[in-house]
Amino acid sequence: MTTTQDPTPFDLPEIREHIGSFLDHTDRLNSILINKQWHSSMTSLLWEKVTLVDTDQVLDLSRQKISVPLDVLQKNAGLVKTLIIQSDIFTDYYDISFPILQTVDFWPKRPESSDPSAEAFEGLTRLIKQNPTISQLKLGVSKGRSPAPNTFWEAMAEAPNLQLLEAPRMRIRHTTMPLFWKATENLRVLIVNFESALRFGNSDDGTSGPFVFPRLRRLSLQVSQGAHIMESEQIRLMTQCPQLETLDWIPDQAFSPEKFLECCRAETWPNLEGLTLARLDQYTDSDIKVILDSMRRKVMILGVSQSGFGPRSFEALRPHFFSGIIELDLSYCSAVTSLMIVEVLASCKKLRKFAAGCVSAKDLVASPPWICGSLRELWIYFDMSNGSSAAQEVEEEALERTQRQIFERISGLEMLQSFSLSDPTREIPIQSLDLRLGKGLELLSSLRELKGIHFHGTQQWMRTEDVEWMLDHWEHLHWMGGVMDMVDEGRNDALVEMITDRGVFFAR
Amino acid sequence: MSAHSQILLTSSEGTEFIIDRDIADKSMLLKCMLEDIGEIGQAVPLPNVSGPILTKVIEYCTHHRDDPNFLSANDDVAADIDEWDLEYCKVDQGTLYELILAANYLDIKPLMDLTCKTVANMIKAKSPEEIRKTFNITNDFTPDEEDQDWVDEH
Repeated sequence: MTTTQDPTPFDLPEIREHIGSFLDHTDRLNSILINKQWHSSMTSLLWEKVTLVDTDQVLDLSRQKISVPLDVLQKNAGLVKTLIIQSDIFTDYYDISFPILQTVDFWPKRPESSDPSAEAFEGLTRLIKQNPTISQLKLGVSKGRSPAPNTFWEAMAEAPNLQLLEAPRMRIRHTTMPLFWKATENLRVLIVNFESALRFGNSDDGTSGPFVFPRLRRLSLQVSQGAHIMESEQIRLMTQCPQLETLDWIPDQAFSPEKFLECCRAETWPNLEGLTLARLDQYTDSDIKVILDSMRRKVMILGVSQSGFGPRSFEALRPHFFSGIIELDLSYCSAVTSLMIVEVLASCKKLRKFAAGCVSAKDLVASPPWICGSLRELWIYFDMSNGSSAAQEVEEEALERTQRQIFERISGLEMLQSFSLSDPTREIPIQSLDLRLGKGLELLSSLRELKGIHFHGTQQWMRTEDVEWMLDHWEHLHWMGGVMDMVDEGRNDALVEMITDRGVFFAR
Repeated sequence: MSAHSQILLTSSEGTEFIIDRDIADKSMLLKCMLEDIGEIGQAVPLPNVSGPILTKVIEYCTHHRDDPNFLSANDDVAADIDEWDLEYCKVDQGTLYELILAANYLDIKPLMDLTCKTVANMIKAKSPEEIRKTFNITNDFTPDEEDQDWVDEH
């Protein structure tokens, strides 16, 4: 018996490959078993990203941690674009040549310590030397205490195509600094977290670098406590990057805004479109306004958590609402009002990430329609009181109506992946959105991309059927957090167990 | 200075479509063709694209007409689909297939990316059997072949 199937686009190998290029590793593993056509298309794609882990560890295919025999990897080396090294034992692998290798993710863990061995670093150095196509290097997070050897930095300085370096734990010897500068001078992206004391700027002792980073588009500068790097040196590093489009600055302490504002006023970064700052305790509303006024191009990313961001800054940000702002973090900013939050939701068309504070339910339901349909991450918490003193029944009815209206609005955010209504200010939980069926939860069935939901600090009375509904309807649910039943601890524990049994991570 | 010049296209059924030149240029196939033909008012026949599908394709190109990033390579495969595009792809499977084929034939990369991403999203988190069911694909492996360890291939 012959099966007659209409020709589909899947019959064309270039289309199967194109679809495959959008699938992650796990889905490619599944696609390879669809039929013979898919098998041949997906096999080469699967070799694009290879993860090397110890075979002694738990092998869970669905978590894509597969250890690959040396000869098999050598055979397929020509297909590998990304290499993730999570084991310390694969020293021979570093001698393989990968003609199209682009990204190396280096985090070889040893059971006895979290430092990569000297051999592993040597291996990485060899790998970098013989694979000039490498453009991205990510040194994985580790609590390592030992700095990378000089030979490593020499190899980095010679690497012809290196564009991105991510080095979250950077311990560099004073004498190695010149090599570090040479290695980083042509980068487009530098993500670094300095842990050790070093000085950037003293030209007398030869530690000063080239001092201009002509190609750097994105700088993420984090300084750990104990690194003892002077504020002026941190600022100086940032001012040497005139082409910056995105800047993250997470210093080790709260500095006064003066020096940073000086840089802004001097238009140090004419192309800046994204700015995330931390430790902003001393930054007032006017200070943030100065910063925003200095960003002459679009403002696409603004992270000013725990700052004085208020009406003046809001005014300065407004022109960027419709066509600019994509990520906005105003969490823990006490001067941010409910009306501001409501205006953002109704005006920012491109918004993808938004964190703010308390929004009044009354303001929400009275606001114009939300246009932030692309929102992926949302963190706001709700004040459900409406200030009237009507009879209890009438109030309860009004509350339920208001709540459904809010749920309806949220249901329109079909791309939402992370939703938090957690109220960080409350020791004792307060009334918020009631996450139960019949109260409006069912309206959120449209949130098919939802990966996580947090509701700490809110009063909830969830029952088994409510949690089951969530687990059934939100297929991608990966994490939850909060207290589901404030009164019955036993029931709460049972619900947590039900959730974790389904493989969802739960934060109490 | 004249307004945009216009192009005449004919679908597989013979239906005629008049579109502005800049919209036609979104298709690399048409762009190259027209560079050769020039401004002569000849209709360009598209025997591989039906009327309804051509309408949909024109709709996409018109919406993205002023998109500055349209012609640049979309290398960021992690970039998500925006709202309008998401709505645009809410069509039945048959139409989606035809859009893929049309985008491929007309060489409109962003539309190819969009439609293929949409299919990829339909494949996400599904088992092989579920994928086959969704797309009505026949399993042509023998039971022995199915058990083979993929690592040994190639």
